[in-house]
Amino acid sequence: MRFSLAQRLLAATSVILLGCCAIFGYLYLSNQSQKAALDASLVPLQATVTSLNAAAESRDASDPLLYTAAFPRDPPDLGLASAVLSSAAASGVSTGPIQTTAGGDEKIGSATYRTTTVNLTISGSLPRILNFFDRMEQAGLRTVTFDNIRLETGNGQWIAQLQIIVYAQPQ
Amino acid sequence: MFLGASSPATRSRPRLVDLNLIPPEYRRRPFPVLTSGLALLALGSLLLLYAIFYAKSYSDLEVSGLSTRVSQARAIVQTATGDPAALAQREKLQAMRDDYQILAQRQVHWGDVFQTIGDVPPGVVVKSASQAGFGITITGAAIDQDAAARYVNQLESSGLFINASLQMNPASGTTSFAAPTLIPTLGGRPPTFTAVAAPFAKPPPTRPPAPAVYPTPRPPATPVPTQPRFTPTITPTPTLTATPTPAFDFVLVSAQQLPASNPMVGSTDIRGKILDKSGKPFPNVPLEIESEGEPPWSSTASSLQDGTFDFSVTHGKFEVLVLSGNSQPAMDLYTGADGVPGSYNYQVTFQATFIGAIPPPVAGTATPSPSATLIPTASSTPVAPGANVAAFGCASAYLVQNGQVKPVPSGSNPSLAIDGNLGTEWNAGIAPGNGTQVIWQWSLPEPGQAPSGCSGAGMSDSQDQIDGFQLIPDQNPEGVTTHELWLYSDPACTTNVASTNTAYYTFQQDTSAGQILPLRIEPPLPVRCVIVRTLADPSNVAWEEIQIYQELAPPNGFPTLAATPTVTPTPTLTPLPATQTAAVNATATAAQAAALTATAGVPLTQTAIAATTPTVTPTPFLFGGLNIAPLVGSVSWTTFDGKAMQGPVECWQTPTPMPGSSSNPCAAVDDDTSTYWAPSKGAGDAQVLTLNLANPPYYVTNVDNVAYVRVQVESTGNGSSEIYQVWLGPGTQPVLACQFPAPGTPTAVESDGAWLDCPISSTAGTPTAVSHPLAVSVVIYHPSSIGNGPEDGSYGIREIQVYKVANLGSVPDVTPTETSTSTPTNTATATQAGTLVPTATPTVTDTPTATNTPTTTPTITITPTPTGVLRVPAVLRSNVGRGQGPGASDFAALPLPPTATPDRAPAAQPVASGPSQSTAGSPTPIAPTTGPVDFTIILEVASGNGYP
Repeated sequence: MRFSLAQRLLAATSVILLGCCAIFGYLYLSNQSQKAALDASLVPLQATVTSLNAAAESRDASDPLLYTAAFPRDPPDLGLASAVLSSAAASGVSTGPIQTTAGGDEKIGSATYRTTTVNLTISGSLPRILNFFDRMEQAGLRTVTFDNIRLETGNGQWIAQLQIIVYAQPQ
Repeated sequence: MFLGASSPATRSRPRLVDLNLIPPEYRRRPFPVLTSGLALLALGSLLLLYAIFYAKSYSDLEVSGLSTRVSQARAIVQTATGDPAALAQREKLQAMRDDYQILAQRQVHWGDVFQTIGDVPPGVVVKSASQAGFGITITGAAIDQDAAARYVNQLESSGLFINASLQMNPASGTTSFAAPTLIPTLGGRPPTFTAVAAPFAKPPPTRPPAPAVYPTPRPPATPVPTQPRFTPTITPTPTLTATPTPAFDFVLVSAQQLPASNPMVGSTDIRGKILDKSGKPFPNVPLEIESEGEPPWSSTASSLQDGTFDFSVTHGKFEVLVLSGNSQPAMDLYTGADGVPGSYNYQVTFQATFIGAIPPPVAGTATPSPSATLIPTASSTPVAPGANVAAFGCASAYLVQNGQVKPVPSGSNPSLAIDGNLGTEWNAGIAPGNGTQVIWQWSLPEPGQAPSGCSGAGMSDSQDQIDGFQLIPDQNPEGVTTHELWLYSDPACTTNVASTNTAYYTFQQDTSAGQILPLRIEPPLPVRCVIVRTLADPSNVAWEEIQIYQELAPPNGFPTLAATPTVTPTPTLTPLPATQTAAVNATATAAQAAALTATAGVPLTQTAIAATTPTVTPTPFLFGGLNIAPLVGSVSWTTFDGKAMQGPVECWQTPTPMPGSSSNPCAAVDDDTSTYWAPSKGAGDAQVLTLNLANPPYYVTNVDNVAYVRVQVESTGNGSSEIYQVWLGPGTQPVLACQFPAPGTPTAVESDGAWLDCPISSTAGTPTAVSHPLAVSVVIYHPSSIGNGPEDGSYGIREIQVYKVANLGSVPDVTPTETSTSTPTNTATATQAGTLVPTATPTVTDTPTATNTPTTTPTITITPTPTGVLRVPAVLRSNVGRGQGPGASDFAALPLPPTATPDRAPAAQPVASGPSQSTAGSPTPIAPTTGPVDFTIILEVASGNGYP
């Protein structure tokens, strides 16, 4: 059988076109698989980004303690002693011997923090002693606490024995 | 193939020679279909290619976009997470921050804590205070238990502590409880340091801090504003010195309650006038009005030139007094309660007792000044959420004295207890005791079936479900009372809702005027008769209001609820003839007339009144007992001489033996006033219709008593006068109980339909006393022809009603000492004034204490009101509306109500005296001690929130 030129031309064209279809079809399918992969990877990324945005918009993001250490790097021994003396002087209480113990540690939450403990005895009227507490609490020592406070009265005077503890970061 | 030879064509078929002679240009084209097919294929391939190319291009764009987003997200995440070192630092800061949150809880403001500890009340000395962690132990001494308890209460109320316990022991030594000498404070907190904030750069918006995990904080302390330290000044408790009570400079002349036109209006006026001693207006006199409820409120004003004043007030209870000199106050001016119908104005009049200038206010005098906090205001929340339907029923009252029924002596209208007005009341005028019981009774008829004299609209069966009661007595003096509440499911009071046929509930407690005695019934019960029997009361029995609460209506309401009725005022009678008006003035009410008549021994006022005023308004019939006439054993009728006896017939059986004619005697006991029995014209005179009562259980021989007999006249209107008589007793010894008209009075023509009321006295010793009668006979005759002529047929009897004494169980004769009341043995019902009603639903097991009390032990489940014992005012503290106790005189001589006595126990205190002193969390029971005590207080301080 003889094919005409046109037939031959048509046949050749068709073959070429089909070939192209096959090629683009393959590329399309390849794109689809790539798209599916990208979708799969985008989902967790999007979730992460969403959570990040939410966290950034929360009040927690503005907590300065997330950008500044809540605990001092080193025990503020001098600052503590200074605060005790100045508070005692300002409040008018009489101070007895001041015993400072450094190098201790105490576990708070997830970590163990270094401590400096001041044991002291103060005496005076109750208002003066209360004023001493007020001044110590506002002395700017963020990690200071009071413990083992004992107040006794006698002869119109109050005697307070107490521990003042200040915490610092672990070493 | 043929003959075995192979086919030459098969064997060697030469190529066919194209011998087509048609020129090629004319030949048919080879394969035209193929060409077309190829063309179509080519075209299809082209289209397919385009489509695939388009799809591929689109997917390229998608992939490109996704790739961009993923890249951006990765970049964001990368940016947010940063490098590992930065991330580790951030995590470290976060962990430190979290640890600091824990530490901050320990940062208690100890200055505030010890300030609170140091503020000891009088009578308390703190010796030491020790702290460890969140615990504080305080040791000290107190002058007595109460002082220590007050101290703990004060500590707890500071809000700085979340737990407190108190342990006390008798004082081991001597302690001076003199007020401590404290050094003046330094005043003020030290200057606040300005914290220097660390350099801080605001993070980028997407900077991802790690999620914060805070420990569960302890309960924070209530922020206590920092106060300047100051030394508390302990003022010695003032000693009240008795001061002779001076005469009042201004006395309260009157305090008149005026119901507001709109009972739900929220604002009313307390107006008044101040008069001088001569009765002229007294201007420019300062006055003060105070609320007796909470929150405290007061206002002042001065009288105008015409002596008047006006305070516009809301609902509540108020006191008005003159601020000048020593004034007698106008107290308990109750203007209404929110949500409760009834608002009242007042008109108060004060009058000076002096001549001259206005005296200055008397400081520290004995002018009674009520404590505003001790008298709770009326609760707007009733015991049940439904409507008070008491006004839909009929109220009556009577006495039972030694088993005999008597009318109450006061003549007060029992409906005043169900008129919805706390300013009015029913007062029996007698106190129970010595064999006397005071009965107040309420019956709920079907709509339109209320007996004459009752304005209650009645209610249908679907509406008679009752689930709450509130009884509001008025009494003076206050004291222990016993009120039994009997409930019946029928208006005739025959079917007791308590299966044991006993009182449903007994209020036996200390009561006072205006106190609400609540009772909640769950589930609701069909109640059509309520009997309140008072067995003990230090005062004359009086009810300001008896409220009967219907179950809450369904959303669409009850099927047919009649409009709220209005209480028909007591009718005013035409004055009696001059010969009888000595005891009854022109304005006497019917009830009062009845009482007076009863006192005088005259059987009934109706006769006397009817003799002169045929159109007189009938005396309201308010007796709510069971009419047993339709249920009597038999009826017979005869002439007075005993001849021509007919019957007996048992009318209570069906069908009626002789229906349908005026000669049927059953027509007189069929409870139908449209039918009647009348002797035929020419019958012998007199005629006697006898009701043989015995028909158990409706009437039990030697048990039941007759309390009331009513006869309705049938008259053609054209006859002469007729005498009606009511006789009681056994046939051989009948007693004439009533005669109409009364003997000695002019005869009159009885009008058709007139009711002849005959209360039956069963008091031994009285001429008409009949105890446990067996028969009731009604005799009718012409006064001019008795025994001599025939009846003319013009008179008959439409109806005979025989009311027996309401069945109050099998204890008809009860005295306070032999009470049949059920004494609740549980503490839940101990609704003593001054205690709160428990909120729990107690189960009350009645324990009969009387020897003649039925031995049944009913178990009644009640739900007391959760609102506790409330008080509503006895408005108008005058002799109107106030229960007068034996020997009590009029209002002017009455002592003013005590105001310093709390009507309600104080709210549950953390520490109270006695064995229950242990505060919350107290691990050790506290032994009761008296006198000075040493105490140890263990406190748990609330967590702190960091120092600045």
